[in-house]
Amino acid sequence: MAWRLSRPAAEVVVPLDERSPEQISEKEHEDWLRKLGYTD
Amino acid sequence: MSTLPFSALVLACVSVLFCARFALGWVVAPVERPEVVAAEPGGAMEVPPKPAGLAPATGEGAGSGDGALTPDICIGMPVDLRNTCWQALARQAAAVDPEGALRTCDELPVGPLREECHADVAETIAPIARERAETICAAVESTKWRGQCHFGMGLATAEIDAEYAISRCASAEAFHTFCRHDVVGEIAMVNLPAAHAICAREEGGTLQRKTCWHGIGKYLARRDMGEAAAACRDATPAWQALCFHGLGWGAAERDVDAALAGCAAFGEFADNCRHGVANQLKRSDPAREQAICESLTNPEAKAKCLAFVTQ
Repeated sequence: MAWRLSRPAAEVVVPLDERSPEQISEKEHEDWLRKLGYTD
Repeated sequence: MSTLPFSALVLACVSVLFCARFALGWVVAPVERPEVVAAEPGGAMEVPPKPAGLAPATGEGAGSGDGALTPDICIGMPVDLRNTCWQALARQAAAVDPEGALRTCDELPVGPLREECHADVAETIAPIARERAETICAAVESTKWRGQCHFGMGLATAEIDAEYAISRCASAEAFHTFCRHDVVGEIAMVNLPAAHAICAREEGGTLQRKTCWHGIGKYLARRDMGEAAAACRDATPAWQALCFHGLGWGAAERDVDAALAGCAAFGEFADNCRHGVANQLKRSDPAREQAICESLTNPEAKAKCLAFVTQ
């Protein structure tokens, strides 16, 4: 039980398209654009 | 005499199967198809840009008797098809009865499907009732579908009011840059000077500024590579190369061989164009994508192209 309680909580990842622009880093933004064919 | 027991057996089996089919259907049907979501930032991206405006609604609205959907048709459908029916019915009605279309959307469960439906209604009426469309978008609760809603409005108005269309992108949330790229591309198809003027203002951060020109190159190349090349040569010098990348991508959507042949004529930008062709092949032909990347002579473009192959 103690071991269970000491485990860190799973990180909640919010999908990019559900974030506000301010919550998206420049790299995430550029990678997303590249993946969908919006930049080189 | 001997066939009577056999017939009774067949009847019993059919009855059991019949009952089992409905019993199973009752259990399975209410389970909604889960929405696909990105597992991590930068991972699989679930929302492609919205397509250009919807086709005009047909008929005189619901229940016109000319093959159009009606509420009764949707109600009579199996549960797993009913939501799709409501969405289609709302789209069908939006152009002639937006408020009725919104009420149809509200037949959908609270959540993404209903929000997408509202966004579709807003997009449909945007060319003729932009203020009402803006109100509909503003009322969408989720960041994702509120952004998609304004994005859709931008696309739907690109042909009729360039400045208004591009202004919608400021409300497109995470899709802001995608929106500017696509809206300016749509504008370029009907009014290149207006698209050029928007990109030449060099608004926003680096990604917004550079992808603006990429959109012009991509959209025009879907129609004509020569036209796109002329526009790219007229771009802000710093972003000409990226415009040619967009050109290569757009041309490759139609014909990869023709795109590569066309790229060869673009001198110092030939590699940027081929880079765009290679990137466009990532999903459909990764082996050819890699071969094209390896053929690039510009070291920077080649490195970037090859890095993307393995991403």
